[in-house]
Amino acid sequence: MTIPFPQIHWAYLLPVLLVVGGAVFVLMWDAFFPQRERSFLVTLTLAVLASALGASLAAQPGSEAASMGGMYLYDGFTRFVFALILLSSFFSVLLSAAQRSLEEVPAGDYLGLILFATSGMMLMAATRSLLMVFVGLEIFSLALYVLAGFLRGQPEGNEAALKYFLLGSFASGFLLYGMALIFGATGSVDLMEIAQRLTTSPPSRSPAFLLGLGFVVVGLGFKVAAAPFYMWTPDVYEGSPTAVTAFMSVGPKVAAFAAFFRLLLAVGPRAGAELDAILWVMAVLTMTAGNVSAIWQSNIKRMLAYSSIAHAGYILVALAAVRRGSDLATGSFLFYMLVYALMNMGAFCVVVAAGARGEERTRIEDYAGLGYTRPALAAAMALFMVSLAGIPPTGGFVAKFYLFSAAVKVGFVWLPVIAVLNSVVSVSYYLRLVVLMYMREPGEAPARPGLLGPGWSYALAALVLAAAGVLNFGIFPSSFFELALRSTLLLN
Amino acid sequence: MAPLEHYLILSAVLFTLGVVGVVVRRNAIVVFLCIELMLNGANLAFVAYGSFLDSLDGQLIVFFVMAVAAAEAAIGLAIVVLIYRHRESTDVDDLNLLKL
Amino acid sequence: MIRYAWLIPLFPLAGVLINGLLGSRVRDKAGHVASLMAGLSLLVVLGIAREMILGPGGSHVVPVWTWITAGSLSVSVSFLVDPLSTIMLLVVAGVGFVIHVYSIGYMHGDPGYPRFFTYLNLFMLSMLLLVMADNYLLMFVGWEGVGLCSYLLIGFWYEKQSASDAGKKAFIVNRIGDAGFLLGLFLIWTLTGSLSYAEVFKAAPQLAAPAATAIGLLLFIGAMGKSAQIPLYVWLPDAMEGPTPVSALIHAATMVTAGVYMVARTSPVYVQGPGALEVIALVGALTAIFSASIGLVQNDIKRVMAYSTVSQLGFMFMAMGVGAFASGIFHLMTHAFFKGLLFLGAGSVIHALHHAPAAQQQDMRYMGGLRSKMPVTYWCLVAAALALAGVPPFAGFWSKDEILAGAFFSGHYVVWGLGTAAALMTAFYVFRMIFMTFHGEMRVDHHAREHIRESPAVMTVPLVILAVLSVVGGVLPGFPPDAGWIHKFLAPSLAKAPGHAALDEGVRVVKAAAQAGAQGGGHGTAGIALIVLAIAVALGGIALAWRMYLRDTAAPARLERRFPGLYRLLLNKYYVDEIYQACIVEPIYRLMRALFDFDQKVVDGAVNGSSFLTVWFSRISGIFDLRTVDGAVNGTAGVIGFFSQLFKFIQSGMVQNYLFVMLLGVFLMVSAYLFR
Repeated sequence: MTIPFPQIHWAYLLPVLLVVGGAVFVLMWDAFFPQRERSFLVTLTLAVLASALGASLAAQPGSEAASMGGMYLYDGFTRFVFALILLSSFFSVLLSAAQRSLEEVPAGDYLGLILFATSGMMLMAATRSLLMVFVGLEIFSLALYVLAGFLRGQPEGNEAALKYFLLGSFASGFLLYGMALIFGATGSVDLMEIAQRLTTSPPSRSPAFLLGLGFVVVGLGFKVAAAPFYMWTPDVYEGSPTAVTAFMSVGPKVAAFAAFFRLLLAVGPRAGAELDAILWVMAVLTMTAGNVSAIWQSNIKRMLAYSSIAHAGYILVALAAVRRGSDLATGSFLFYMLVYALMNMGAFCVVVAAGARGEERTRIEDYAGLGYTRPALAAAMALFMVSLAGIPPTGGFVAKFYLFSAAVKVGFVWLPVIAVLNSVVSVSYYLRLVVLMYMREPGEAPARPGLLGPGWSYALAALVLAAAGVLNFGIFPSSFFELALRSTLLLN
Repeated sequence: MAPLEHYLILSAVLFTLGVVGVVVRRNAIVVFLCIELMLNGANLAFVAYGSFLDSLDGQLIVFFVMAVAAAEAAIGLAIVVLIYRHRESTDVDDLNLLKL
Repeated sequence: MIRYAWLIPLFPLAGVLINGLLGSRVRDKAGHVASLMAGLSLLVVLGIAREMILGPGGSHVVPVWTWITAGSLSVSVSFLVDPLSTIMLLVVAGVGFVIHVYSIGYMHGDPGYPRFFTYLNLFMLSMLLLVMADNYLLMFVGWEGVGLCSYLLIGFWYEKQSASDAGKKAFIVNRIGDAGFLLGLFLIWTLTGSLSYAEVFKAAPQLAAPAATAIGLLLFIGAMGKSAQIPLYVWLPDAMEGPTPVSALIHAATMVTAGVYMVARTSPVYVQGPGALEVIALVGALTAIFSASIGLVQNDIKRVMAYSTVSQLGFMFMAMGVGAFASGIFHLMTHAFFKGLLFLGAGSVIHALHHAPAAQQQDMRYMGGLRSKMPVTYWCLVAAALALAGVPPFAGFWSKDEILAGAFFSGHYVVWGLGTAAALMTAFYVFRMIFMTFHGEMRVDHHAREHIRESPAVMTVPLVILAVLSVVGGVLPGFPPDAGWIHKFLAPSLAKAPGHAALDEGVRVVKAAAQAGAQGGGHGTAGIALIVLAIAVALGGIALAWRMYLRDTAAPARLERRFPGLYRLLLNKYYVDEIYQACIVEPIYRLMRALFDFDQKVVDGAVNGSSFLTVWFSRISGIFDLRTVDGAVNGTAGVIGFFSQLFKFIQSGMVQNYLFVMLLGVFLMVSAYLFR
C-alpha cells in the first residue's frame, strides 16, 4: 500500500517556512554565539521578514490555491494579509531595537518569539480549516503571553502577562468548544465543506451549530478586542513593553480579523439575521466603548489601546457589510487594516522614541511642549493622531471613508451614522495630544533623551516609513485600494 | 454503546464547570486548571462527535489540542511562578496595578 | 489662466511648509513670507476673475488627480472655476491678503509670530480648497481644515484660560455640525451615486422632495455649526478671544460664510426640497433678530461685532431660505468688506489702547473721543458702519435691501418683518459703537492717554482699501437692485427657486400674484416703497443712537431703569448659556448621580460582594464635582461623561470582573441566538 504524498506548493509555503526557519535560526544562533552584537540579530530578523515579504509578493496566487487539503490556503486575500502581518512584524522589530528598556534582554529569545508569533498569525490567516485557525491562534498567543511579560523585573509586565494569559486562554476555551459544536453539527472543520453542508442540508438552524458559531465569535472577538471582550486590552497594552504593545495592536488583530472574515464569508450568508444583529451590536458597543473610554486616559499607551479598540469597532462595520456580501467591504477592510497598521505603528514608534533609558514617557502629560523640544517627533505624532482621527488629507480619512461607504452601500443606515458620530467624538482625544504638544510649555522632561541612543536609526526608519505611508494613502490611495479590491477576487 | 447525548452532556458539564470555576476561584493556578477543564470538555465533544460521525478528524484534532494545552501549561505556570516571586501570592485579585 | 487654478492653493501650502518647518529660521520674516504667498494667490485669482468676467464665463473643471475610487464612486481632486467660486475666490483671496498684511503690524513682537502665520496660511489653503472643490468630499476636506485652523487660532493665546476654553467650545459645536454635514454627504452619495457637483446636480431633479429635504437639512446642520446659526451660534461670540485679525478674517469675512456658500452651491438640491428652505429662512430670520437684539447692549467692542456677524449671517441664510441665492452671495461679499473693516478698525483701536488696563482695552465704556487721535481709523469705521446700517449708496444697503425685498415678494412676510426689525437694531448698535468709541468725552485711563496714536501704515492701508470697497462694493455690482451685474454673472451657478409660491399652494396663493406683478428689474411700486422703508429704518436707527448716546446721554441709564428685566435679559444674552446648562448639562448630571446611587445600593454585592463599588462611587462623584461644567456645549461632554463613568466602572483592573463581563457577553449573545 502506498500512502499518497499530499501535494505541496513550495512557493506558496515559502513565506511561512522562511519565518519559521528564521525563528529557529535566530534562537539557535543566540544560544551558540551569545556574545555576538545585538544589531546583527536585529538585522538578520529584519532580513528574514523582508525576504518573507518578498516571497509572498512574488508568489502569484493561482488556481491551485489550496494545498494540504485546505489546511493551507494561498489566495489573493492571504497574500495581502501576509504583507500586512509581515509589515507589522517588521515595524515591531524596528521599534524593539529602538526601545532603550529592551536593550538588556536576550535578543535571540525575544526576536525568535516575535518570528514565531508572526508565523502563527500567518498560519491563522491562511487556512480554510478551523483546526488551523485554533493552532495558529495558539502559536501566536503563547508567544505574545511571554512577550508581554518579557521584562521580568517589571511588576506591571508580569501582571499584564498573567491577565493576558488567563483571559486569553478563557477565550480560547470558548473558541475550541464552539469549533467542536460546529464540527458536530456539520461533520467537518473545513470552512468550504461546512458551507456546502449548510447549503445542501440546512442544519443552520440547529442549536448546536448556532451555539458553536456564537462561541467561535466570542473567541475571535476576544482576539480582535471587540466589546464586551475587550477589557484585557488596556491593561495588557499598558503593562507590556511598548514595542510589544505595538506588535499586539496590529498583528494579532489582522490575523484574527482575517480568520473572522473567512468564517463570515463561508457561513455568513447562511447563518441568518441573528449574526447581523450580533455584529451590529458588537460594532457599536466596541467603537463607543473605545472612543468614550479613551477620552479620560492619562496614560498614552492606554489611550492608544482604547483607540485600537475603537478602530476594531470600525472594522467590525466592514465585517457586518461582508456578511451581506459586498466586495467593496472586503477591499475597504484590507485597506483599513493597512492604514491602521501604519498609523498605529507610527504612533507607538513616537512613544518609543520619546522615552529615555529606564524611563518611558507614557503619561500624556509628558508630551506637553514636545513641539518645542523635539519638533520633528511632535510633527510625526501630530500626523498620526490626525490620521487616527480620520481627518483629511491622511490615510485614516480615506480608509474610514471607504469603510463607511461600504456599509452604506449594503444598506446599513444607523451603523454608519453611529460610526461617523463616534469618529467625531474620537477627534477630541486625538487632538488633545496635539494641542498638548504644541500649546503647552514643556514640563520638566529631560531636554533631549532617547533618540540619541544606539537605536535611533531604527526608530527613524520606522517613523519615516509610517509617515510616508500615511500621507501617501491619504493623497494617492487609488492604486492601493484597487490592489486591495483585486485581492478579494480569488476568495472561495 | 451509550448514545451521543450522554457524551455531549458530560462534555457540557465539564465545560461549564470550567467556566464557573474560572469566574469564581481566586487562585491563579486553580483558574488555570479550570481553563484546562474547559479545553477537555471541548476535547470530549470532539472525540464523541468524531466517533459518531465516523470521522477521524475528531480524534486527530484532540491530539493537536493536547499539544497546545501542554504548551499553554508550560507558559502559564512559568508566568504564575514569576508573579509569585514578586508578590508572594497567586491570588488574581492582587493583580491591581493596571486598571481604569 | 483658468488652467492654472491649481496654483491658487499651492502658494499658501508653500507658505505653510516654509513657516511651519523653518519657523525658527524665518522668525521675523514669517509675516512677509505668508503675505507674499497670499498675494501670489490673489494675483492668480485676479487673472482668473478677469478671464471669467470679461470672457464668456462658464464653468471649468481643472482636474489634478483622481483621489479616491471605490467601485462606481470616483472622487477626484479637481477645482471648479465658475461664477460662484470666482466671487468666493475674490472675497477669500482679496480680504485674506489684506488681513495678512494688516497682521504683520498687529502681531508684531508676539512670541508666536511664525506660528500665527503658519496657521493663517493653513487657513487660506483650506478655505481655498473649500471654495474651489468640484465635489463634496474635497469641500469637506477644506471644511475640516478651516475648522481646525479656527480652533487653533481662537486658542492662539493658549496661556489665557478663556481663550483655550473658547477654542474648545468652538471645536465641540463645530464637530456637531460636521457630523451633520458628513451624514448629508453619505445621503447624497446613496441617493445620487456620486459626490461631484456636476453629477449630483444632474441627478437632483429626480430626487423626491422628502429625500432632498433630508439632504438639505443635514447639510444645513453643518452650515449651522460653521456659520453660527441658532442653536449652534454660541461659539462665535466666544471666538473673539482670538487675535483680532483672526476675528476679521475667519470669524467675520470668510470661514463663517462657508455655510452660506455651501447652501448656495447646493441650491439645485435645495430647490427640490422646499421644506429645508423654509427651515433655513426661519432660522436665519430668528438668528438675525435674536443676536441683533443682544448686540444692542453689549459693551465689549468685539462682542458687538461678533453678535452683528451672527445677525448678518442670519440675513444671508434668510436670503438662501427665500430662494434669493444671488442676493445672499452678494450680501456675503459686501459683508466681507465692511465687517472685515469693522474688525480691523476695532483692532486698530485696541492696538492704540494697549497701555490701558487689560479689562478696559475692549470696553467701550472706557473709550470715547478717539476721533481726533485716530482720524483714519475713524473715517474708515464710519464708512463701514454706514454700509452695515444699510445707508445708500454704501455697500450693505444694496445687498440687504435685496434680501428683504426677496423675502417680501416671495411671501415670507414674517421673515421680512423680523429682518426689517433686525435692520433697525443693526443701524442702532453699530452707531452706538461709533458714538461711544469716537465721540463724546474721552474716558480712557489717564495713564494710557498719551500713548494713543494712529496705527502704522501697514495697518491703516488695509483699512483704507476695505473702506473703498465698503463704499463702492455694493453699488457697482448691485445696481439696479435684483438686476445688477452680479445677478447676471452668478445666474449660471445657481438654481432658480421654482416660483416659490407654488411650493405651498394652500397658504400662499396671494403671493404668486405679488410675484407676477413684480417681474422685470426692480419690483415696481412695491419695490420702491420697500427701498424707501429700508432707508428710513437705517436712518431711524442711526438717529436713535445719536439721540441716546450723544445728545441725551442720560437716556440709556433711564431706559435701563425703566426696563430692568429686559435690559438684564439682553445683557446676559437671553441666558442661553445658562439655559443650556440647566436643560442639558444639569439633568444629565442628576441622572448620572441617580444611576450611581442605584448602583451603590443594588448592584453592589451582585458582582462579587467586594466593596469596590463604594470606593468607585466616591471616586466617581469626586470626578463629577471637579467637572462642574459651565458652558452650554458641555452638555455634549456630559453625555460622553456619562458613558465614561460606565466604562470606567467596567474597567476595574480585576481579572475576575473582566471574566464576568465576558461571560455576560457570551450569555447575551447566545440568548440572542437561541431565543430570538
